[in-house]
Amino acid sequence: MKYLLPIKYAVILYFLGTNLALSDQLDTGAQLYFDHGCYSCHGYNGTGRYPIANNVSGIMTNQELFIMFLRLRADLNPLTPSNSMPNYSAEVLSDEQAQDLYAYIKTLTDNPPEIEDISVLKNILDNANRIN
Amino acid sequence: MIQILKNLEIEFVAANPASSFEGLQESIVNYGSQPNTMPELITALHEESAVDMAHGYAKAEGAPMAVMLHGTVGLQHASMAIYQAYHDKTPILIIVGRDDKFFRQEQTANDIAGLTRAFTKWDAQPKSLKESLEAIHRAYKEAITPPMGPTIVVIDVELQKEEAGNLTIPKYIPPKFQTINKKQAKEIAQNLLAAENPRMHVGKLRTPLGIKYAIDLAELSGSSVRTSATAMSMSFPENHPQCGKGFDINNDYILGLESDGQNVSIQGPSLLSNANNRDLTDIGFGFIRDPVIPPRRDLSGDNDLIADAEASIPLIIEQFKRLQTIEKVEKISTRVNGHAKTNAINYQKELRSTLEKKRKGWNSSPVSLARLYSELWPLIKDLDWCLSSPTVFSSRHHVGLWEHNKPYSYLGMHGAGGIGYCIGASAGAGLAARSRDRIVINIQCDGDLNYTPGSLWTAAHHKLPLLTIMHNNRGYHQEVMYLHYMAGVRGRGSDRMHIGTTLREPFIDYAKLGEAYGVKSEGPIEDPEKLTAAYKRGIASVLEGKPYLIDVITEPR
Repeated sequence: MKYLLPIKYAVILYFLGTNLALSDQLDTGAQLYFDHGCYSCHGYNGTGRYPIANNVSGIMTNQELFIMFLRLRADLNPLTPSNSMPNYSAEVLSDEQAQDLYAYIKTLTDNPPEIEDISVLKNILDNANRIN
Repeated sequence: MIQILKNLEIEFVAANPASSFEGLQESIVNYGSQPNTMPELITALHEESAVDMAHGYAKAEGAPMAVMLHGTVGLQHASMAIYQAYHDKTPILIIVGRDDKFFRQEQTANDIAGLTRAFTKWDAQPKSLKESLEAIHRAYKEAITPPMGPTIVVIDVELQKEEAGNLTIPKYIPPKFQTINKKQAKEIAQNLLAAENPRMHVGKLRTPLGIKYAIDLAELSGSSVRTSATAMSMSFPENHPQCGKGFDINNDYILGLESDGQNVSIQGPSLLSNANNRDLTDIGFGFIRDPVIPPRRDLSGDNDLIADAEASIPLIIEQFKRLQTIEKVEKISTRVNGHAKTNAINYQKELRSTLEKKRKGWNSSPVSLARLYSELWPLIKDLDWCLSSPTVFSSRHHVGLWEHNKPYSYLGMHGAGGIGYCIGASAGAGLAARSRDRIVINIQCDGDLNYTPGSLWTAAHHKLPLLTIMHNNRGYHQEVMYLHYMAGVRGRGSDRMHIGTTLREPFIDYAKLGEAYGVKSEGPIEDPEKLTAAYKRGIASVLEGKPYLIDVITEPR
């Protein structure tokens, strides 16, 4: 038994360290998400006009695809102002930063109640019957 | 002059006070058995706001109100708003005071109206009192004649103060609108009758009467109808049983009324048609030049009949009634029932689908725009309401959720995308609503409010039933997105795009701003659970004639 304690602490410290590292990564990812304007289309919580929470976007399939997508966006001067997804080159957002960003986006979830459980929406539906 | 405005039933004159129209202003507030009534003087805190108010009022009512402006400087302050009203084909009667003897010679000019001639419908600078009276009549008529738009009469201070003596007010002769001819009306009626499944595309008509005509024609012909009521005012009611795709989407005849139509489209003359009369200096503003990209709503197609649809529909109805038979009436009745049944079922299905989208991000903070609109709808749906502000920046969540059944349900876009329009236009819609038991909803973008916040005071002072809900995303968000894309193109960094585009450090406190102008306000609200209670407080206040502002921190889009 006397050997178990150090091992136990080692395990705890190992996971604690991992969690701290993960926490750092997510904090960094969250800051990148904000600073680089991801929120502007995808929302502060990934639930914006173009949702990205719940891994609904195909680009979140895996990290490599995500980073490839960031790099392959349009890189020509648009003829007219564009609010399409911007290009993020490695000079602008390093691979390491992109990994942090990916890790953060993976944590974004949206679990809204069903219509029947949102009284406002349920009432709208119930009171909108035009069928005589 | 003021008696003419009374005769024309001009309800309001908005103005920021100035020496060059002191004679007129004194008359408005003192003349007649009921002074300061029809028209009532509305205090605007900026000339741009005054014109925005007239813009919003006209879109809600289908009739112009008047604005008074001060010489060269007042007109320049107002010019952007005039430009927008011009592009929005919105009638406004503008009187510009001119004082050539004023000690500030910079504030007068030989031809003041020349400043805005490229984007006004008509102007005049009369030389006598008699000419002034005629010019006001003409300006009113030109303003309401398609293509409708702002018109200007420049009136010297001396004329405003001249004794009328025995001068009588000239008789007002309403304008005759350009219509389709009898042969064209007969042909359209025949085609509607012959069609197995006719359809009407209804755009923006001139007045509520035009909507009545469109309803009459739709019911008479058994047409299914596509409305523009979620995009602009004065269109077909969404809840009409025939409004929708109908029981069969294969239409064999489509008639456009101020809208596109596969077979024929009746559309009023374009702005461009007026250009030759106005573009004296070849300035080339907007639609007054040959546009680089043809504007969609002015685009003439092969099937277009250039005529005012509202004035033309009665001619079609007349011909239709002459041609229809008992058998046709029965057939049309069957078709109408089929449309009504299918549209009702489709509405129910589409509503569920719409609500599925609205619930996404329901509990998010900042507040989702879908929730901002959804929470409000049950509270206003049984009231007479008008959505006054453009909703493109708040993702148009009223579409498919709110029912746009009145001529003024939604007043549409700015006209030329000029920011600063919303609160002024909403105050104008509030003027239209005040005596009509109607409330006005203004989903107000934060960036926009900072141009002309003084209209909040106008709303408080004149007791306008205006509920302003801030879509506060703390920035000029369209530009945030544009700039991020440009940064991606250049590849020099994308983490500084907030510079010059966002409104942070410090955040602007809109509740305090509203309170400063005398508008009861609350917020900022970040917790969506607090929305409904705030809305209820706001609506209760507005129903008492006290404008209310709720600052909501929202998702950007």
